[in-house]
Amino acid sequence: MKKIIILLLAVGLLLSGCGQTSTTVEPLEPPPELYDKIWISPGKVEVGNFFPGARAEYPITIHNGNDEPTEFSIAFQVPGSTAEGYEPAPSAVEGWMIIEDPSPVLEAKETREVLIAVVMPEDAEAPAKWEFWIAVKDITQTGMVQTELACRWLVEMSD
Amino acid sequence: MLLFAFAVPIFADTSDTVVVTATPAFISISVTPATYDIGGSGATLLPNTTYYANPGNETTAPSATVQASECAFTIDNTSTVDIDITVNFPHFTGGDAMQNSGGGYTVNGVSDFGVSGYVTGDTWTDDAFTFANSGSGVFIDALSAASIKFGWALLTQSDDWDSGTAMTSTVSIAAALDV
Repeated sequence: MKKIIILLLAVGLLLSGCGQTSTTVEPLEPPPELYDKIWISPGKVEVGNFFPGARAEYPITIHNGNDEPTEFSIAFQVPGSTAEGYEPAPSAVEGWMIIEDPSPVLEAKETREVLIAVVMPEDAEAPAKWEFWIAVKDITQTGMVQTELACRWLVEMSD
Repeated sequence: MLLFAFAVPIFADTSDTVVVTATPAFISISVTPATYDIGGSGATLLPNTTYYANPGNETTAPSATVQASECAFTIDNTSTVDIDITVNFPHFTGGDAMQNSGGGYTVNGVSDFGVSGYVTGDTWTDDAFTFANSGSGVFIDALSAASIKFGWALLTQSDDWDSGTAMTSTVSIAAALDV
């Protein structure tokens, strides 16, 4: 009986911790022609009903299409342009970000998920709808022209 | 009683539920060439002069309707969706360390350069698009899974060089899902 209570206690704690986030994703396999390319997924993360004190998280998936191990940078970015109706994220949002590993090194052809979370402080304020980007860059690039790939995060606050 | 206490969060008011929805597109681009010398390989740049990323004709503006041959760079969109392209052209470092005026290719100043981009098919100069140091707007909107060529016009600083040594800037080409 004691073991059952402890088990139920653990399950209860787990469920109560998950209770504030509902995540929806439509699974999709990358097309084979992207095997030799660097790509990221998803393209967009939408967060609804966000509020001070809340946390939203979603992993970004990175694929290293290079033939050698490659280091990437993962960084918060305020976009120069936003989706219609959204404002650029306040600069303070950078301090709300948790990036599980901001400089992962991926083996050749490796695909890896890196958890991204935004945790809004209890006393913080934000526009009703705001956008930030999570930018992923292969930092082994050496040329004058370098590419980066961005996942858009669109956040809508609760009323 | 213990069980009831921990069952409550499961049936909690959903008004406190943060909803996260992901759009699982794959974002991927490449840009060639990656290396580039403004003014052409080995060129010594002049101040207060416009240089174009126009292969073989670096001091010649593109045609009124920009031709592919007048664009030095090719972007391949290998994403599974349409994407927006933004280009940031940061301040130079080293040498005279020219700063991006943010006003486009017609706006330079003391220690300031200006730069604008163009793509194949643009009307030059009407469609010139300003590349900022950071936070540029969308340069190419809703690029489909195809290639597009682009170039830029860069007006060097208005005053003479002080150092006479090379300076560099790393241009960032960013791809994001078109929304």
